[in-house]
Amino acid sequence: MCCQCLQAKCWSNCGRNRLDGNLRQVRSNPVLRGVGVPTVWIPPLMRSLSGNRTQLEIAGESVREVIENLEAECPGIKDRLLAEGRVKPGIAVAIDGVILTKGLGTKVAPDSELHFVPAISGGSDSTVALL
Amino acid sequence: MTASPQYRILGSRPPRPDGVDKVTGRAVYGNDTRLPAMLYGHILRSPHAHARIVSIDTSRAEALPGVYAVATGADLPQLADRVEDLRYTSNNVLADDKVLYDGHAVAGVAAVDLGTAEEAAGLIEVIYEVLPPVMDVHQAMADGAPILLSDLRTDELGEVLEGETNIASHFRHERGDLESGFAAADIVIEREFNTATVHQGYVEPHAATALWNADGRITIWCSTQGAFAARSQTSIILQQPVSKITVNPTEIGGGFGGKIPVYVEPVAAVLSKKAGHRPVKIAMSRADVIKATGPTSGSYIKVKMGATNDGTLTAAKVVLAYEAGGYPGSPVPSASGVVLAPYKLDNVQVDGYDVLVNKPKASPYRAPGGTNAAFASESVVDELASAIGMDPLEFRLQNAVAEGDRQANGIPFGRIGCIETLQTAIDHPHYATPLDGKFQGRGVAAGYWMNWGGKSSVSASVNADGSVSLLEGSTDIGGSRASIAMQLAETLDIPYEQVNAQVVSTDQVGYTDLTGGSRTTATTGMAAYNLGQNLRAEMTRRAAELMETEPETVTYENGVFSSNGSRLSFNEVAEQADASGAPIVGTGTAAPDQWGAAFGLHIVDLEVDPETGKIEILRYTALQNVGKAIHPSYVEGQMQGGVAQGIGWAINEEYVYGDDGKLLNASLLDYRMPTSLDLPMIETVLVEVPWPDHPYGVRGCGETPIVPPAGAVANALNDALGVRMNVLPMSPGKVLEQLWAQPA
Repeated sequence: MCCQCLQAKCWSNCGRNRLDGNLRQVRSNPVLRGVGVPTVWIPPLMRSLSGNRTQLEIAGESVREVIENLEAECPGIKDRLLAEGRVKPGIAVAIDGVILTKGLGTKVAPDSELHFVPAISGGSDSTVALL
Repeated sequence: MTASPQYRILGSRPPRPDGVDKVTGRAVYGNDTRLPAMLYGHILRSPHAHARIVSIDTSRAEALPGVYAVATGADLPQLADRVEDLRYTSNNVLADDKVLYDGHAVAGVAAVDLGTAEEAAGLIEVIYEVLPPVMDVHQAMADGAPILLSDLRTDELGEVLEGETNIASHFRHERGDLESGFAAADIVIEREFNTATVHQGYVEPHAATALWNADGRITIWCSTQGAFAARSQTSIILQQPVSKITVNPTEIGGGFGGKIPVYVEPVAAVLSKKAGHRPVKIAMSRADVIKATGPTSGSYIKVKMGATNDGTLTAAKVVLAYEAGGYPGSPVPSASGVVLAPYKLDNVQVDGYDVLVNKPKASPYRAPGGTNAAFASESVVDELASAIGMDPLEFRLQNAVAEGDRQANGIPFGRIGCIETLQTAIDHPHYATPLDGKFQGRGVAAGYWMNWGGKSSVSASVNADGSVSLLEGSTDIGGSRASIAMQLAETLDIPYEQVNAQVVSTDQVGYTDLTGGSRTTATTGMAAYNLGQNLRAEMTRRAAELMETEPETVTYENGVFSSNGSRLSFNEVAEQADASGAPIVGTGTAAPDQWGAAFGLHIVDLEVDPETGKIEILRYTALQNVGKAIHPSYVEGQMQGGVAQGIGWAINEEYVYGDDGKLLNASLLDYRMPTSLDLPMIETVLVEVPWPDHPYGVRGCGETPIVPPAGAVANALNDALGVRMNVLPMSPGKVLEQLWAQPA
């Protein structure tokens, strides 16, 4: 979401949706606080898709919506993250520090942080999530 | 400040329910299974580290009298790519078209006795096209290296790179600005480290018995860390629904992560089916265990860190290249979470590589990847503190992470106890005690493990005498029957001895994740708490009926239900309810979204013989944030066990391979693990910073203690001799090499 026009896509191309360096300003702005949108941290190996931006504010009430809207901002990133409608096996999604286990429909709060990190796995199956 | 809750049972040290059986030899382990008409299985293993299987002729083996079945990889279903990890597990269980390490399973035989099975295995003719082996990450990542899996492509967080490779995956964590971070430093230290492949070293070899019945049902008895994990792996490898598979977990003689993957269970099942539905038992030898199970990764690690003269870390850059063995799946992702965890860093980059080599497929080992990672980073941290003339613990405390600080991957820490643990270490008498020998040294190292929550189920019935039969699905490795029973008893406000805990099969309790990730006492304990609440509600309702009042008027305290002057004990309600109504049963489940991580700090004193290079551990103190210690003896035991394993990793243990890739030390005589004669009593200090999202504040505690020992020993060695070691193990020969390489 653009911090200026509060649209999912910054149609006026004001560029204010680029969060690097101004996240704190957005969060501390009493007008914008409470109507914020989730912050997505872009992993280093995906920053070629984000114009080297490290964090983006992306609208969405669920992980699925955030990723769909992220795709509009960073074309190609959805295919990097998802396969067959699920997060790829080697990738974990963390929402406010909590690893996603309940699917892409999981709700995210307006002030949530989303991270995409390598899944920690022993390599056998989902029961071995952290070993 | 809120006072700590007062508990009746939690924090006490009652006997474990399984203790008598285990010390009298009555406990039934994997190899104790005996069934009518049971056959004995044996696995034929590859003598080559890397070879293509040209052909397998089993006819002579099948013709041997007493042989009932022979199975090869061709007898396992070919798995589709979408279950890639399990395809690799399947090929690890019985090789497909290639063998990828010395000891790789090639065929299984079932016969009337073990001798006949072994003889028949010797009659199987395998023609190999021997290929050059790749034995470490340096060789494997080099241009032109022999390729283990021709269809493997490097995955970079969802992007698949072109070209054949031995690098299964590469990832990077990055925050801040490395260049400016290092520019702000007064001192920058960069070091490279190499660590050997090591094994978990559990006492009990793998053993499984399987019956593939004529009705299509498969029943397995095995030593496993997770009956449900064994069921799901077997289900996928054999392409049979979980509804047709029952796994009965036996007692387990150690696992440490190595008994999470299945090795012999699917082979025993296939042999059972081919042998006319007779049960087949396969028990590994010690050599089989060392050659073909475990191990955890050898590694190459490069650490560069910068600090200012006032002791503030400014930047860190780390490269982790971990051996995966013959198939992808090293613990390098978790290593990346450990390597810099204790330190607040604004400028950081961590690269991780999962690299195939011709060694057994890596399996989890207690804080997977953490020991080697912390060995490297804690050595550099120690060197930085020394270079600026600062006490190593004060340096760590000055840079310690707190709640809200971000990890290398950007995710902030929750409620942690790193600072509390460090402060406790600084104040501990051990740290102030003078050393009194010329070649003695003291070292410290910090360690972290993120732990895991997972899912657990328990169920229980209240008997007429007020006792409670508790059923759980968590394999009891470290005393979890007791720790789970204690949490249920605490919740029910009844004596611990009134709870009878049993570990049961996959058909007798709800789904429960494996015992690992330091999760069992926390998550299964949370399920037991929820079960206790459910039982309390039902008991309250029944008490209200007996007292002819409404449940809302009934209170429960100290094991007694009260209402308007009427009183009934828990046991009285159980007895009268049994006579007057339906049985009282309940279930409890838990699947926490968040769980408590654990930090530790270790202090070690050692003495080195400069003539032989041999290290003697003189004193060892392990301090750890354990959350609420449910059964302190078992928490201490976990810490002592982790330290013992970590010291073995530090100074003795390693897989030794010949140039041809053949393992040279597949026995416990030559693979040197520490014994009680090698170690002093490990002192433990439990720092109880409760995890707020657990009803009793429990954190996992079993894995963190293996993380710091190698770093602590390396730092103590430097204190003793002025020698910085960059290899594991720091065996006598390597210590001498490093000592002799020092300038005069």
